[in-house]
Amino acid sequence: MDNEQIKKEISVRLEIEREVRKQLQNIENRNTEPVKSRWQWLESKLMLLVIGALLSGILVPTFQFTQEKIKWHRQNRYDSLERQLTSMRGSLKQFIAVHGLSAELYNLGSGALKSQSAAPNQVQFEDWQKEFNLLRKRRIGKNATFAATVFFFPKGSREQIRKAWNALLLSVQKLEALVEKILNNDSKNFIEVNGQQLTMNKIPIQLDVSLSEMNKTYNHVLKILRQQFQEVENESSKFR
Amino acid sequence: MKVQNFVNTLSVAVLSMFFCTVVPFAAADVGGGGGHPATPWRLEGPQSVFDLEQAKIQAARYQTLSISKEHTNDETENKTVLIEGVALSPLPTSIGDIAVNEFIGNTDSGEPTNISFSQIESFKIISKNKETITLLVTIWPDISPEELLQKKPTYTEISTGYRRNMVIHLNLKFADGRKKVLLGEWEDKIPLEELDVGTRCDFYEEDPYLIHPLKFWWAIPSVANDKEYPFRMMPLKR
Repeated sequence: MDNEQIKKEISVRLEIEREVRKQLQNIENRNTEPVKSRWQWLESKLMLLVIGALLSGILVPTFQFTQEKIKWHRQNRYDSLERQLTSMRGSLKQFIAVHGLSAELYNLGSGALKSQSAAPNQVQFEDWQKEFNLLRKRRIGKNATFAATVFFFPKGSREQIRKAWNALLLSVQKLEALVEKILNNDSKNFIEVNGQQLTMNKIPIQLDVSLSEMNKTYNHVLKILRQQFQEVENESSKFR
Repeated sequence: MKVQNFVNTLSVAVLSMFFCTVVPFAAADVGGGGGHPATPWRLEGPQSVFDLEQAKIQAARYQTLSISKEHTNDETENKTVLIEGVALSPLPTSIGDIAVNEFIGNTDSGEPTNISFSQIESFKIISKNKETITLLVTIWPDISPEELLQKKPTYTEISTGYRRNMVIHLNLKFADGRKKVLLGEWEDKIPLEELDVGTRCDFYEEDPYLIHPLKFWWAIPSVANDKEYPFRMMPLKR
């Protein structure tokens, strides 16, 4: 082996060694290099700026707006319930006034019945008739006023109120018919109400029966109205 | 001068005391007064036993039952549940049902018996099982129409006497298998089986303004004219 060949062989080995070192270096470098996350872009300053702008420019106002909207709805609901309560109070007042007139009607019939035993004169009859007509007129007016306020009560209860109210109207009409017959009574032996002949002994009892039925039906309507009033009041207190 | 002042002061004091004592009594009569007696015999009493018997049958239809709320499923704020014009009806209801105004059952000895609502003051549930309920019924006024017409008692006599207790066993269901329910004219209802043992139900605890004159069949003039008679007719003002 000549010198030239030895030199060449050494040079090849050195080349291989250098190559091996280079590859080893590469492998080492690859192991120590940190893993890049795909969310790393979020950490960039620009991204932080954009996110900050979004939070302060859109999310916070949206949150505040929603909160204001809820508050506004709440206030609106409370105001509307308060208005409803005021109207219901007015309706209740009208209803009690209606019954006051019915009670006056009973008193008129009862008083006339007492006086009839003392043979009243024509003037007395005319006075009763005038009073009766006035009461009837006022009662019709008050009835209409109350009937118009029923829609202030919760929707679900209106049908129940109307049903009970109609029962009351019926009992008051019965009383009214009886009182009218009493006031127009000239025979003094009997009166005819709804096809039934009532002797003078039975008239006061029939008057009491009408009063009792009227009281019961009135109480029934009042109970429903008060119950509804209580329910709306309870609901309104939730918004305070 | 001092004596005159003293006399004046004394007069004012006496007058004030007088008004303080009198006014409450006067105020109690404002708004319609005590009212006349609630009775089906206002101007004249019954002419015969038959009249009284008819009135007694009619009276059973106008009774109001009050039940202490703790023994019912009622969720309203009222302390008692009132069933106006109470009757015993089948549930579920169907067309042609006839409501009865009496308890039909058996006595302790097993004899069949019936007690009209017009003669019951109150009753108490003393026991219950799956099929029957046992009531301790206070019968008042325990007086027959004949005896009433003959003796003409006052209200004081009626209220202190003429009372007896009786045990009655009732079936919880009618013969057709439907539940027995205490049903009122406003459709308030309580099935007999829902009444707990110990419940007291009263026929004379209703609002004094809501009484029906025809329920007091026994309030003949001797009873109703007694100043102690508490049931009076008044227009409801509130």
